[in-house]
Amino acid sequence: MYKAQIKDKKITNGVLSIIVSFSDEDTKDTFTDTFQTNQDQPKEWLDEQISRKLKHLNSLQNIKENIEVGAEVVLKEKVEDIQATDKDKESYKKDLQDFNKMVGAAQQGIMTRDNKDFLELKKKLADNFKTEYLDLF
Amino acid sequence: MQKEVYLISNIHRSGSSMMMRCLEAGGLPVAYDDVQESLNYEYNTPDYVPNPNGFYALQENFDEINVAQKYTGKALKYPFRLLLNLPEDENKYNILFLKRNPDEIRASMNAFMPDQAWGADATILELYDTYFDTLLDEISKKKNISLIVINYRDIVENPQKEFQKLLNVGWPIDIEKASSMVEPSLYRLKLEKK
Repeated sequence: MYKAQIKDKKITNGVLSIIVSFSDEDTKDTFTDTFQTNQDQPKEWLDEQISRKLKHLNSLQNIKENIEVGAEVVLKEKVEDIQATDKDKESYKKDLQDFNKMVGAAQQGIMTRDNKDFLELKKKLADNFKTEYLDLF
Repeated sequence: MQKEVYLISNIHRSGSSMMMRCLEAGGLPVAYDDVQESLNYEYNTPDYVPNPNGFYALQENFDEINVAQKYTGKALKYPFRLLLNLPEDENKYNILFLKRNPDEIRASMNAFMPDQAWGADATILELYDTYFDTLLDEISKKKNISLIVINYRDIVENPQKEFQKLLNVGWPIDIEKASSMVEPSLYRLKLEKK
């Protein structure tokens, strides 16, 4: 089971970043993720963000157990895309707004495009992109 | 009766003006006006004129018209953000989407309007492949859309080959005449291939 530990916190260019380490003693998997905000948040905001992440991580083991290595997969007649929930989209929209500001700052020479925060948020947006988000741009 | 239209789409500074010029020379009727031409006077410098051969753009309320009905048989520049809104009607929408190295696009944007932000377009450049691969994948699912994607660099380097591809998917053009309008000297912000 994954556990989380807050490792660092910092404010850069008006964005609060919290570095959180996630680790699973059983599988020895360890990695860090960054949670960011540029506005006021409820007291429980970070706990909720991390709890949601833990919930997703801990469900991976169940998925893994149901996957048979070597099994042949055939194309289904109809493959439905996983629909993004409104909450996911709202969260993505906030990240995108933050990133828009960073891109603007980069254009003005205030921030470089190889800045760690810039690259991390860019990766997050790319990794989590869904068809339903096309209209956010 | 099915109407057919030819739409050239991309993010700014990806070669659509050159493409329009080529298509016009290649015999395809094109639709454009001179509204955007003032940009060549507004933003030119001794070292850089944004589009020396013109913008070939059309001032139109694209989200309020049926483009296939109004511009039947013609080629015109079309905003990429509206591509998904094209109706699944009886008409056929031939779309040529132009891709270009996003670093080159960014450099071209900066040369064009160095003091202005490009807003969401600048953000899309950062997520270029993710955004456009998803958009084009969605567009291609529509039955009345014929989509072809061509790279700006490929047109400049081998126009005949690229215009042959267009001809092969039903764009009625004269390859030789279209190719003759490509000016490699206007590929001004070319980066080395990675």
